[in-house]
Amino acid sequence: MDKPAVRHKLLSFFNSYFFAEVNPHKLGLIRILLVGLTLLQTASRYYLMHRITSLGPAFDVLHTPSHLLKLLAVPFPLPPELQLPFAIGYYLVGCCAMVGLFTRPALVLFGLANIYVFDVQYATGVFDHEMGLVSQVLLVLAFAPGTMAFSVDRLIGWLLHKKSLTTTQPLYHFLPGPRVPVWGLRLIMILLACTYFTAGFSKIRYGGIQWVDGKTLAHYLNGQASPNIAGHRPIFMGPAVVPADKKWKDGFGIYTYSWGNKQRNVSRMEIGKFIASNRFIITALSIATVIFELSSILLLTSGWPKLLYLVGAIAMHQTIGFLMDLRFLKFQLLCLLLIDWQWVYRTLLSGFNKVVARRQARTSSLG
Amino acid sequence: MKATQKVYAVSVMVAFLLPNLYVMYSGHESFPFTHAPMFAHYIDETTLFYDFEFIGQKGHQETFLYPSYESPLPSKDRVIRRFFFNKVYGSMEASSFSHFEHDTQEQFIRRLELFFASYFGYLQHDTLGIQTVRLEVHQYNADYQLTEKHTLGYFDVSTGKFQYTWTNRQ
Repeated sequence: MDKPAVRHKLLSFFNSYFFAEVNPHKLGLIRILLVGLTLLQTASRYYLMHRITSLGPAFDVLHTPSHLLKLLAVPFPLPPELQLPFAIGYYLVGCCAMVGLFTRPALVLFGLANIYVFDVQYATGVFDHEMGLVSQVLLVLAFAPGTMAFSVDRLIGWLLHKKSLTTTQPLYHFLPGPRVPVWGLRLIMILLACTYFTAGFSKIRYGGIQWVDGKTLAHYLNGQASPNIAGHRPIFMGPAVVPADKKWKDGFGIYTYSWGNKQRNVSRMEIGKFIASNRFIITALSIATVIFELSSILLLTSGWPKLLYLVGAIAMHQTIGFLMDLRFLKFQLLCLLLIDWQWVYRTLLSGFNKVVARRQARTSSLG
Repeated sequence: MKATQKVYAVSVMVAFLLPNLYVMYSGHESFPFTHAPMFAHYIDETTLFYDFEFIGQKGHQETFLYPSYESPLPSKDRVIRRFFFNKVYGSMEASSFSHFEHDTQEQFIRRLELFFASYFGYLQHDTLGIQTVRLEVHQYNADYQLTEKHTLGYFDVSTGKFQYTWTNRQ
């Protein structure tokens, strides 16, 4: 095939993959439910944002913002006198984003506000990996077509059109909005795929292929990494053999820290210990985890591969939540909302119809 | 779809994807971009574990300040430990998310001085009368049994200086 033909084929694929039109319902639902869950979870942890305020000028020197917030040149951490206005503003823009009032500006502000809150948390030591992706998704929603589906803005638009007699559409037709290019949903899917892929890639990068032998996962499930079990549990670690040039600080050479198992439920911890003690199960789980994460490109396909990956991701988070109390509820919600339920319905209906037709054919041939 | 709309779409996608791909490549997190390094490092029976200890000294009297140090700080031990490692101490693994490129002893000491002055600033007014804070690093085997301890140095509360005493000849 000559170059212009290849280029034409690639362009056609790119156009149909990113710019084919879809109903905007999914984006509207993601906006409402993801923003709602983010508001609930942030409120339960941060309430009136007292935990992200400045601890004092001396500490502020150490608590530095991320590159993105440095570009925005905002006070960091939050000055105490701005705590209440920020909290009020956060919940106000969040509610506006959720119901869809001044939808896009509200989503931009809510996305940036979440980046701010969780960047302050990171500046004090803990990177919220779930909110890393979710805050990006909120910003994608601010720019993607179709986000205003099921919004108060669309309701106001319908009322204005009805008043000026420029529409005869009933509200339930008007509220979702017209069909839109699919690129917003594709971008969210790509970001999700990148997140899962890099999680798997990091295991190989930092742990090597030996990560799949099960010993690492066993450490996290057998109680050794649990801060909820009595006893001193040092979290920093390094390999047995460290090159001499890496020991200058302390004579040891510390590489990283372990991440901890937050589970407090005794029976779930016992299940974790049983799994950790079974060489076959823990190795199979480790191999499955890495293969699953590295296969996230399936999210960019359609049909059964994409569906199975999304269901698999939900199952993986459910398992991690059960064993380690790291539930990643927003990831689970996002995966659930990204399932093409119309395709599932059509496929199941088609399968059901085929089964019925085969049975009828068999009955009539016997008759 | 109009060409301008396509240009807009591609610009937005590139704006989101580029920093993510860069962080995935470089291994250095910057919120909200991450390469998801959680649970990634290999742990087996040969892995060595470590902990830091900050011990307040007044003459021959010693007070254990960390991991359970006093208020006014609202932080929990696990938070301060991760912060201390990520932002002050630094990883010796070149590809790690908390590695300081081309780190030197002078830069390390300066970070320690900033940290100690901030987190132990309350000692200036504390009735315990602590004069120095000794920083130790303890090594443990995979069963969390102590195998070795090294003293890195002393932070002088009144001068705000960290005297780094560890040498690799020890």
